[in-house]
This record gives sequence, structure tokens and C-alpha cells, in this order.
Amino acid sequence: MRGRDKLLIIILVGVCFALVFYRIHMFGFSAAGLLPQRHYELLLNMTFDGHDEKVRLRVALPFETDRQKVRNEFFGAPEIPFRLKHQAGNRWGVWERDEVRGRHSVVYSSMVRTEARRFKLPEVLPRPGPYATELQAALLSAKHIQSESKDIRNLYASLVLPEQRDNLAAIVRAVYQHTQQTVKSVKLKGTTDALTCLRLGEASCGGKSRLFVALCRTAGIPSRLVGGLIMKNGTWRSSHIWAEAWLAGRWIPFCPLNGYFAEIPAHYLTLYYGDHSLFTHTRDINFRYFFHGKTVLAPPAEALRDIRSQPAGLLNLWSAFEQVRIPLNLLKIILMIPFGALIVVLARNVAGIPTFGTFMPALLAVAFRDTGLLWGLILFASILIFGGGVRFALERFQLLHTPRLAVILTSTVLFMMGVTALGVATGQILATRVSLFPIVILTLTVERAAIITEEEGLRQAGLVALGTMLVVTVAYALMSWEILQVIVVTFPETLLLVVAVFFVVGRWAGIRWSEYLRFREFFFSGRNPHA
Amino acid sequence: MLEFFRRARRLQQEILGINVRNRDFVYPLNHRRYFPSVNDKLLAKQILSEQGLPVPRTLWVGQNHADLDSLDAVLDNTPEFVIKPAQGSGGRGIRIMEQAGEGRFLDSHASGPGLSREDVQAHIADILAGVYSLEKLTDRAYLEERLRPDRVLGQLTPSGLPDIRVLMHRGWPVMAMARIPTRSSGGRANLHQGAIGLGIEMRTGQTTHAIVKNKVLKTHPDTGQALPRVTIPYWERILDYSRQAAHCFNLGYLGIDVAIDQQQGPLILELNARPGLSIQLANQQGLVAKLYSGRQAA
Repeated sequence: MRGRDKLLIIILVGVCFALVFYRIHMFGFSAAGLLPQRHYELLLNMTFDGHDEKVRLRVALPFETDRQKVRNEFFGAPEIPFRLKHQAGNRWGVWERDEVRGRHSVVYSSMVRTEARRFKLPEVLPRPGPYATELQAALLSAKHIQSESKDIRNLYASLVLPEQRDNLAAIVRAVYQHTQQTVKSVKLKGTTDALTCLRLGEASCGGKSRLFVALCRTAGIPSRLVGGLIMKNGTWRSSHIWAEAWLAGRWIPFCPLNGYFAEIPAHYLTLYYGDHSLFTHTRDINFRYFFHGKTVLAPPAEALRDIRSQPAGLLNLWSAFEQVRIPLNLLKIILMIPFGALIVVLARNVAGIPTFGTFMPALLAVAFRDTGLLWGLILFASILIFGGGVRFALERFQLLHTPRLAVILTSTVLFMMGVTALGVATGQILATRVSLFPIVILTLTVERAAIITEEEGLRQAGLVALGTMLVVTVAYALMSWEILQVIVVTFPETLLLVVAVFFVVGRWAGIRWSEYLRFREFFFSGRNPHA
Repeated sequence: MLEFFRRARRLQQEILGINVRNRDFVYPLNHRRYFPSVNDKLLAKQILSEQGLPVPRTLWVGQNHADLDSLDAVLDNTPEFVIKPAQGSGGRGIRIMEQAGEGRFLDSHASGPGLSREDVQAHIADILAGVYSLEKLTDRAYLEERLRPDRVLGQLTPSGLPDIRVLMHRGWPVMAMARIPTRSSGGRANLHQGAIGLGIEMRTGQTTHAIVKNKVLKTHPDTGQALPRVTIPYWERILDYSRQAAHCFNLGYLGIDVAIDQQQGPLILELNARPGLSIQLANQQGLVAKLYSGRQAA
């Protein structure tokens, strides 16, 4: 490396650190309290058909707890009156109107932030004195939680030894062990009560949790069902049920389906306590719904308030952007693109992995944000295969280059519409988020793959496709790494470091990894007639 | 394990990799401004023949669709010919054709019923649309006389035209190899398509090692017979043409491809401003020492 390269790299790194240092120091913002945090954008979309009669729709809505924050709520249904009903700690959204005619849709959206909680149960937890009156209901047998039934009592007697029946920790452990491991996990539709779960020996989340609660109540431990959602990126319809038991003076969560003992993971969103239905609605209204979730980075609510009152906030880029209504998320995508390029540069110049097009893997990684990595890769591979088929079929028509590309492009569009329709029809709605998929780039890739197939064989085209998918995967992983996103969004000057890496690789004189493979005969033979 | 690292280190020291080739040779010695003069084979042929260097005869040149009209006469009167894109690389888009009667053409290296006149025109239309020149949107297509390999190199291949790649550094030949088409290379002399690379001793023109697809060979992949050591005919003249050709272009790092025709002797086929690195494998010799020492082989 020459002197001027070194000098430039030192300047880039120096300026980057100086800026970070200056901003932290001069404006004294304590980074930790102000860093963007992971939130979920939650959207619930419901539709129904009215038949000139009264329609009532009740939905459990998220509320704030010690581990859960809800903000930016939006209740959208222009023609249906809405009210909130608070009842026994739950928060119900009620849409109700007489004489509803035609199709209506009701939308609820909010930004939620949920945290993980983990509790350590002591080895021995003695039975406390009598429980408070408000906990008494959590000890009673109920319609679907038959804690008084003989079968459940017998099961309890066989699970917990008589000498352990005063140690609540041991009881809960045995009950959890049984419902989590002995009862098989299967997908069941409808409500499975505790007794049915016991008799079948298999159940989904509801059955397992009801059996857990029933056994706890048999043991005299107050316990209840919790209903909610498992948050993720994408679209889904299923809700989730887990359980809570009152131990050592507080409610402790247990999920016998997914194996969380005295623990609740960060992506569980609580919607209601007790054995309720998430939705209750008037019959025969052709009720349909789906949930849509998306992880977003957002500044914590407190930070936003603080910063708006300080002029120093202007130096905080994302807060400034938020004030002019450019969402942090868009800023994040733009700022992460150089990291995609970084992976491409390393893959090409250091590893020597062949890809279709130079920056195409980085662009695909951006596009995969909408579909998720797995669906993106599946879609990418199937478009390559489908487009290759179309191109092969077009061969005999001998079209000129550009019209042929346009035909491939149009078939790609139709193919994606087909995939979307298929996704909706089969309930796999995930695949519908393909709107931003770079159709034109994919079309050019199809053409390039076809030429490589023709000139160098299918094997080579397959290798390049695999290389592309590998690089996309790594770029996607790096670009969606949340810690990095937080750092870059807070300190965009870190991109200067990326530029410094580009300079290092740009002047790098090493042998590419693929070249060790290519020259392996030289490497292993040791023959050198002229040496 | 130690042996492994020792060999890895030797490879790093002796082999010229793509990164260094580009950084220390292609970028500093080959100014981008002069790339078109070699990337466009028609232009390169023109420059070479103006200097009195032998190149294959051009039969027809097409720049746009209207030119296809004049193609018919050439097709009718030429028993065999080669179709080439002016700016193709790596042998892409090249087709060697011969008349098969009844208006059909046989691709010498593909099986099947052959091509109709429309198929030939469609292929040329693809070339004009820049399908085979990855960086450009349009290209020129041309027909060239088909060369016949001489006896010495011709005995090594069932079909196709072998050629000799001479690597030039600052006007001097530093390394060379013969490239022999095989069945799997489809008659083309490009190593990545499966042609054999034969290392050449620079002083004598004798072939040394043989490789195919990065692997050292002892026998011919098509016949299974031992690969004989041969002496390249016209060796001194090939080196002389290469030196003269290198002086016609303002490029300091250059691959020159020379074919030997039965009747005409050595002819310059094309030039490459980013010559490949497999030549090191064919010679079982790294380029680093040769390029940095300043000492030239011939």
C-alpha cells in the first residue's frame, strides 16, 4: 500500500472517530438512553358483510404492562362507532352499529414494544397463607378448565408425589414438564379444553395451557390463561395462548407449547387475561381478519420528548428526520446499503465468489426486506428457473433482443402475480409482500443466467446462482443486524469506516480464496520445471 | 499442516492473482482509452493489417439490421465461415458454420439437424443487439474465413482451431501457451470452456505441461492417449509477430492470440487487454517473478 492510500485511510478513520467523540461529548447525549429500540408495527385488518342487521365486533387490544408499551394507536372504521371497554384488566375494542349493510373493513394499528422477562424460581417455594379475594377466581374450575374433574385430579396425583405437594416450585415444575413434554404438540383447530387435552395426549397452545392451568388450580395455585400474539415480520392469522401462575406474590409466565419456563420472550404480545376469545362477533357476517407485523427501529418515547426541547437534538439525525416526517425506517434502509456493498466487495475481491451483476446481490438484499430472507431466496430461485424456461421457449421465435427481454420481464410480473394469488388462496399470505421486488433487475439476471447456461453450461450458471444467493444471504444478515443499524442510524459517520475498508480492499494485493482453489494443482504438485 | 502453510505461502509469493494483475498491470499499463482498439476485434484487425501483420480475411460486416440483406450473397457463395461478435469476449457468440446443402448450415461443433438461414440470421441479430458483449448495448457482427489447423497442432484436436496465447509485458513476450479445443469446449480454444492449455518453453517453443479446467493432464481428454510433446511450428515468427503487434497498441499488458493456418502460416486472431491467469498453470510457473524481475524470457 502506498503512502497516499495509508494517509487517506487514516484521515477517514480519524474523522469518523472525531465526529462520534465530538457529538457524544459536546452535546452530552447519553447514548444508551436515546438509542433507537426495536418496536413492532402491528396491523390488524378485519372485514365483514352486514345484512341490514345489528353488527357487534369485540376485539382484545394490547395494553401497557411492565414489559409492554403501546403507542401511535389508530382505530379505523369510518362508519362503525367505536368504543373502548376496560374489564378485569383487559382492554376490549368494540365496534357496534345497527342496520349495517354491505362490506366493511375495520383496521387497528399501533406501535408496540415488548421486552423479554425471565424469573428464577427458588428450589423450594412453600405454600403462602390464604390468597386475596381477587385471586380466588383463579382457583376455580371452569367450563374448559375442569380442575375438579376426577381424571385431572388423578393426573395431578400421579405427577406430584405427596411429600412435594407443599412445595409450589416442585408442583409447577412437574406440571410444566408434563404439559410441555409428555403432551405432544399438534395443530388443532377450535378450543381444546383441559380434559380433552389430557385424553388425547396431544394439543396445541390452548389445550396445553388449559391443562397447565387446570393442574395448577387442582394443586391450589392461582393461575390463568393469557392470550396474545407471537410478533414477527410478515402476515399471519394465528394467535397464541400461554399461562401464568401466581407464585411468590406475582404472576409468572409459562408457555408449555414453545417451552418457556418462568419466562416470556420478547416477541410475545399480551392481549388479554383469562379464557376469552380474541374476537367475538355477530354470527353470519363472513368475518375475516389478518395480522401484519413489521419490526421497526424507533427512538424510545421518552427520548423523543427530551430531544425536541433541546437545540442539540438537531445533531441527532434520526430525531431531526422524524420531525420532518421521514420515517426512521427509510433512513435506516438507505444507511445500510453501503454495508450490502461492503459484502459484495469482500465477496468479489477477497473471496472471489461469482455473482450475477456487480451490486445486484446488495439490491436483492434490500428487496428481501419485504419478503423475508427465506421467501426472497425461494422467489429468486423460482423466477430464475421460470424465466429460464420462458427464454428457452422463446428461442424458436427468434425475437430481437429487447422485445425478448420485455417478454421475459412481463412473464416475470405475471409469475409474481400468480405467486401472490396462490399465496392468498392457500393462506400463505407471506408471499404477497413482493411489491418492491426488483423485477427489472431479475429480468436482466434471467437473461444473463441464460447466456451463461448456453455458453458455459448449466453447472456454471447454477454455481453463479448459488454464489449470488450466498452473497445475498450474508448481505441480508449484515444489513438487518439490529445493533449495527442502531449504531449507524445514530452515528452515520461510521460509513466513513466502510469507505476506509473499500480503500483497503481496493489496494489489496492478496490472492482471492477462489484462486487457491483454481491454482490448487500448482499448490499441491510442487512441480516447477524452471525453478 | 506446516507443509500446507508452506505451500500456501509459496502460492502467494509466486502466483499472480486477479487483484494484483488488475492493480499493478492492467490499470497502470493499459489506459482505458486504448481498450476499444483491442476489445473491438474488427478495429484491432484493421490496425494490425495496416501494419502489415497477417490476420484472417473478413467476409462480411454487419452493423445494423439492414445489413442482413447483403448477407445472403455471402452465405450462398461461402462453403464455410466463422460468425463472430466484434466485441465478444471469452469466445462468446462465436459459431463455426459449414454449408450442408438445401439452405442449411451445420455448426461444426454442435450435433443436431443444423441451422436454417433464419437461425443464422437470428444469431447475427442477437450479436447486433449486444447479447454477447456484456458491457455494450449494440455490437457489430462479422463473418470471417475459416482457418484450417496445421498438422502439428491439428493432430491434438478432433475439431476446432488451436491457437497460441502469448502474454506480452511492456512489449516483451513473458509466457505463452497453446490452447487446444476439445469436444467439451465445443471447438473453441477458451480454457474456461474446457480447452486444453499447453505450456510452452519460451526459448525453444517446445510444449511442457498440459491442463484442462485447472487440472494437470497426462492424457488427451477426448482420446485417452498420451499427449505428445510438440514443438510449435513457426515459433520464432510467432514471437516476432507478437512483438510487432504489441507495438501497434498503447497497451503494456496484453495477451495476443495467434493461430497457424495450414496454408497461410501464423495469423493474429485477436488481442486481449485482460489476459487470463491460467497460463501459469499450463506452464507450472508463477508470473510474479517474471513480471517484477525486469528480466525478459525472450
